Amino acid sequence: MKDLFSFLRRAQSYFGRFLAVKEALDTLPAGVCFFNESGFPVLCNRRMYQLVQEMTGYDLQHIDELRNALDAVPQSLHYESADERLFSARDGRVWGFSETVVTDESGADYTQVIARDITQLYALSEQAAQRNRELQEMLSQIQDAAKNVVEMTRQEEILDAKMRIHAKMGSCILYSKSYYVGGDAGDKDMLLSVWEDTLRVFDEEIGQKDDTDILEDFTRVANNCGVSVAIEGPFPTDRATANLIVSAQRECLTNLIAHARGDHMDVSISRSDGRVTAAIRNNGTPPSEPITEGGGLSSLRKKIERAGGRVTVQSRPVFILTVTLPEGEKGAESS
Amino acid sequence: MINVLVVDDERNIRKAFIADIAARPEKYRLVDAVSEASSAELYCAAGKADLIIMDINTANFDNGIDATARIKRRYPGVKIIVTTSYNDPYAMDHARRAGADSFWYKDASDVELLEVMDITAGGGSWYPENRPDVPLGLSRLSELTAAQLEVLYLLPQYFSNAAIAQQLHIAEGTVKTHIRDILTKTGCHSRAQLIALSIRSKLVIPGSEAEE
Repeated sequence: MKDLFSFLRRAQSYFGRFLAVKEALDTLPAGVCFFNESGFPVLCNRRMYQLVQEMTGYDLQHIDELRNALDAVPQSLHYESADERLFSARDGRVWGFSETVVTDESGADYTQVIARDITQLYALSEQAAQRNRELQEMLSQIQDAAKNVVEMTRQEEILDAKMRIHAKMGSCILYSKSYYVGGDAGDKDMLLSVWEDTLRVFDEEIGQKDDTDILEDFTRVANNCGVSVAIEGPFPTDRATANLIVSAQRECLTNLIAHARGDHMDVSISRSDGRVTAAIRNNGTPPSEPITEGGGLSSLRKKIERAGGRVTVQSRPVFILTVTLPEGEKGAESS
Repeated sequence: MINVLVVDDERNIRKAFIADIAARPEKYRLVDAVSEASSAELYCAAGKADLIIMDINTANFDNGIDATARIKRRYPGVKIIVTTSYNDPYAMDHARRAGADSFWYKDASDVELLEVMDITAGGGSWYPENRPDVPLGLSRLSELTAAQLEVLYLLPQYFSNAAIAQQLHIAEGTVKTHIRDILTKTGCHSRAQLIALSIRSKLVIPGSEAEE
């Protein structure tokens, strides 16, 4: 009898404390629930019950029901939290659910689930995401504007150039007038030369797009510098690959003119396994020592390697610079 | 006779320069008009050019300032006039550092190119006294302080305060203050409007950021 009384006293004390704790938890603005190791709730406050009820339509019986319900809720793309799942309640408030494991004095583990009101934080993150989208759009508009300004500048330059050419034309006319009408005994050859040069400027249509052929350009420059160039094999037609090969030719030409004192360059182009190879030779004096890569060759190597290619240099018995590049989309034209 | 080489990626500009050169046939002879700065180095190696009219932005992202530095290092006797149609406030400084003998703004110069060619070919140097003072919203470029100009120059390239601060080795808050002051001076309502304005005013030469 005494034992039963003692048991009831202890029970009353225990439940009294339990109810006091439960009551205190119910006053919290956050949702709180503790689950035992089997996943059953041992202590849950009113807010958590309300949230789970709204989420699932029934009372909380097991932690997996809560987890499954949260998994089914679509999550925000913008509010990022590593350990929180979100739930938007009907009243517009947004709740963040997190789980942690707590251990009591006796060593038993409990899973503590807390639901905190993150409505304001969520709204701010949505606003920030919206602002980021706007900034991204603005940035892309600015980038477009920057591209346009290049073309705009080009057009302005063309206009300015045309005006200057017209001014030159005007000067020619005035010079002619003074020569013929004014009886000026100026230099007739000079007059003709001025007219010839001015008219030469008009020999192509102004405004036509600048579509220079880089290989032709290179060959003309080489010829003007006293070097003939022979190309053997199909030269790549895609501009990026062609540019890189011409850069290599230009590097060789500089060395040929400045050091090797030759007057002819051979470029042999071959293709295999989706790669283009250009072997560049010349008739100049081969280097007396192995080549030490300086600024020009080293920056050429960097350019070629950035494009996925490679450069090899043979110094003797003849100098050969070989460039191998992945074949571009347009491939190569037959020569 | 002075052998002149023209380097400009725009065919019509090349034509205008050719016309300039043709106006003085007794003094200047055109060697060639090329679109890439690196071709100029070949002519220099071959000893074919005495004077180069060098654009900053040339074909295939070839930078005329870099080419000028290389040419002046290897062939110091070759005279170079750097030209541009941009209002980049630092272009003249870059050209001077690269060793260019003269500098000529294509659009905003009160001196004819031929005059600059004469001065340069005669062993002299001609640089405009001031940068082009372009309008900038309610203000003008000259009304910005040196620090504000630096920030405005980097704004279209780096966009954020943090990135600009890192470039200039100053505090992010200082960048913010400069931008606020520039906005007030120019009458722009936003950073984006300011960037658009600086682009429209051609303050930054495309591709020049790579050198910074």
